[in-house]
Amino acid sequence: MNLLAPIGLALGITLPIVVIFYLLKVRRHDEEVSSTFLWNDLIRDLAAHEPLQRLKWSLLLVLQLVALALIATAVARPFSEQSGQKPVHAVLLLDGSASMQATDVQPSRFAKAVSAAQGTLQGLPDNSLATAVLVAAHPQVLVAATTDRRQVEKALTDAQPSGASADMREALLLARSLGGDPSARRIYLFTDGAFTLPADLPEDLGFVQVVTVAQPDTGNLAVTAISTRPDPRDNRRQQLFTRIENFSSAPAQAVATIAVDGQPIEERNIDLAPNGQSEQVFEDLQPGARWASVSVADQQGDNGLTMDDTAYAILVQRKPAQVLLVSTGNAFLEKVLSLLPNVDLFRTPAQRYLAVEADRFDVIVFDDYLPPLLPRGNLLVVNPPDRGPFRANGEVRRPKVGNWDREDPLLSFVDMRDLNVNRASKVDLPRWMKPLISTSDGVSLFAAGQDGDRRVAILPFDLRQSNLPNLSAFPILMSNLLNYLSPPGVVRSPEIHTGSPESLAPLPQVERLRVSGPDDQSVEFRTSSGPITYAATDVPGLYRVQQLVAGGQQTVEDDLFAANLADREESDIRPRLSGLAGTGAVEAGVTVLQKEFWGVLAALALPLLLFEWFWFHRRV
Amino acid sequence: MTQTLLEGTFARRLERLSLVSRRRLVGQGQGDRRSLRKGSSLEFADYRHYVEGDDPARVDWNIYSRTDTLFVRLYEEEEVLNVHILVDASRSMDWGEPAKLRYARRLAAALGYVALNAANRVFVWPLAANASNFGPAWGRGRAGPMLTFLEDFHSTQFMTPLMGTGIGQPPDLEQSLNSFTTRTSGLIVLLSDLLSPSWERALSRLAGRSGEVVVLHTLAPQELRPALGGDVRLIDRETGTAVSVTLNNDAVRIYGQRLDEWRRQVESFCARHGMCYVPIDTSMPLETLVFDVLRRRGVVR
Repeated sequence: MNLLAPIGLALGITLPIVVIFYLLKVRRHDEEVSSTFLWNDLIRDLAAHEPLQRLKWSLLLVLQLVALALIATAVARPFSEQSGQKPVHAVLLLDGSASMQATDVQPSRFAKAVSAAQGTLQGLPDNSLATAVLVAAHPQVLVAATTDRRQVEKALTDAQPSGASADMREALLLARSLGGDPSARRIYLFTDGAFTLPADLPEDLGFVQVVTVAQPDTGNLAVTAISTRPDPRDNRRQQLFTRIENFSSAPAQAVATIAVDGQPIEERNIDLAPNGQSEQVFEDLQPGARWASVSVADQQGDNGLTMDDTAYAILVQRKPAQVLLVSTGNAFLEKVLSLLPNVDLFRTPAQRYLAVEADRFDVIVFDDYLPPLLPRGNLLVVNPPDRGPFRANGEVRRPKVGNWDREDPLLSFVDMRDLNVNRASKVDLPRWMKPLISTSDGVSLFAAGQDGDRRVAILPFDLRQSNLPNLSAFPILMSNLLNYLSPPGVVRSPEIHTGSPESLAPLPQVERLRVSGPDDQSVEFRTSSGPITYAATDVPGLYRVQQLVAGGQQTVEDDLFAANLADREESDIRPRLSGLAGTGAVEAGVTVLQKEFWGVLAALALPLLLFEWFWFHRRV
Repeated sequence: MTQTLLEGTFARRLERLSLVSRRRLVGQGQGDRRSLRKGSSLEFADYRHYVEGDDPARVDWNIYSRTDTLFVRLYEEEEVLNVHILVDASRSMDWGEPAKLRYARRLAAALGYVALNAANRVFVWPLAANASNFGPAWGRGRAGPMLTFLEDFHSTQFMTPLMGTGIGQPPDLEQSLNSFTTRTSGLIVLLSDLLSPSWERALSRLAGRSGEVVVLHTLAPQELRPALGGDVRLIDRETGTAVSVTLNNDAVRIYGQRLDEWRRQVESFCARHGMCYVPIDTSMPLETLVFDVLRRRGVVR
């Protein structure tokens, strides 16, 4: 027996101390009794005045000595030398890409990979470290460098596949870093092999073993593309384009079903050549429909991956902005507003303006006119009169553009260097308005801001007294203005790939966002300034976004977005990985191991001490 | 102080009691105690054949009419009973809560009062070195001096023994009996804890005397049920010697067994020698002891 910490044996000094305790006489307190006549049988110690007594062996003494000897030996960390496999640091890469959800092996490729990883884990040499990484769009370290195999097993069991493709290069580089010493590093990749190896992999990955969990030649039908556009003949109607592919070396007969708002409206039989594809267009989708889906099924019922069988498209994300132009007559404004897409323009002369009617419009454009009481909608005020809510404080002649805020979304792609204005009003801007174009001496030529729930923009000059309508920047500026004053829905991208984040921009008055996924699970977010990134999009399907205001009692009109796999690499679930397995040399892993057994000694000492305690208290 | 030894109501109740002597005692002087001598009292004892000189009035004529033989009735002659109350005054008796010696003084006072009321001749013998005795006394009028004596006599004082020589050690129970010097017979009542290695010899000496012996074995509750524990050095109150013991549950249990066994030995010894044995726990009220226990044991009636 060898000792790792021989200094621990110093604890053995306690053994003679215990014996000395037994040699020392017990300090007794005096008690007067009538007579010791009856106590004589119970006399323990007649030589009461001597400091030491003869050592009497008792069970307690023996138990204490044995327990102390065990503890002292355990503290010295005894070990025995054994030959065994050298410990390694195993990095278990678990492919979590979408194709791992294929069911060509039961119950699924991913479940099989988890099982294989757990098997590999059990076969590692003693004292080996293990790191588990889930390989998804970004590698996720489940548990790092631990000898606790139960922890690794639990992490593997709890892992879930993603709906995106896996970044295998990043995962392998991460495994190389986490694995540490190359001589002890073992990288195990549990995958279906349904990807091609990145070309720029480093050479020094060391030992890499690929465990493939897929059936070869597994075919799959998939909807790999879907998109919509307004019908050129009637922009209220939508057309849907889709592509269906056959990832198999055998021809397939597919049935494509289109559904609108969940109601099937058409089925098409499609013959697909081996590795072929078919593009389909569905026209005349009824106006007002919110979403459409295309599902594909193999008539022979053989389809390896189900999550790419259906793709969704959002048809109408927002209704056209209702814009009211209140003007004494401005051909430039009328022309540009009528040409902007997704705008319903209404015109009224300033003399016939009625505040009650104005409330139903999303945006009101006041040109050379302002009513005494402003309506509730968002406003574009052009050349405001001297009196009214936006009071002019004199005017400036031929102002020159000094600077403009190029970073503001309102001025994106807008070049104002050539703007010439004959005369502009010096409007006293409220504090909530931000000047976006101003002269060098601080006179604002364009300002915008938000007062409570209402957005307001001001152009304090007559368009006809400037060259702005003739500039190429004018329609872009007006488009930006309409987008600002009549913002699109909360969803930034109507269609995304599964596993990709969706950016959600709630309206200013919204307190919370609720996102309900296709698996009927909903999550709520408290909104703050700026957009919210929603990343739990691994399940393909429709996601509904509700904007809650007034403590969740009311909702603004909800929006939809769709998550589709739409990834040819992932839909092609046939194993095709080559060139990775077997890289690196494996050393003969036999070495001399120091096997400690202090735990056994401690485990023996504990019941001894418990029995000693019990025995002592039983006697008293 | 006399009141504390014998309170008024208790004393009045005692006046209805008398001591019982189970043997026929030979005494001196006429009293109200039955004697072995046949006399002329009204207590019938036996018959015998008529001899010349007998009083014709004592002939039982009814028997003569049936048997034609003359028998005379014999009556017990009532004599004075000597009552010797021996109170162990060793230091071991001066211990306990309540103190055994105090309890013994009160019990001796009660029994002495009963005896004086019954026209018995009362002696009180403190069993201590150099102690004087009280008595003989008879008649209720002597109750006061008896109580004063019982209150005043001292227990044996502690003396540091000279190591190994035995000189200066207090007398044990048998030696203390040397102070019981009278040769008169009668009822001997011993109040003692008997906590002495010589208890057997002491009782033998009493048993060897003529007359009846009542042993009132007086122990304190702390002796019967010790509440000690832990590692202690027990100091003998009588001799000053120390005994070191570890009083755990086992030790207390063994002590209890030893105590019971010893009391059975004493009781058995008394039975063999015709002595009346009464174990007494000083935690018992004195009235309960006298009117209940001693009456059931036939010491008083």
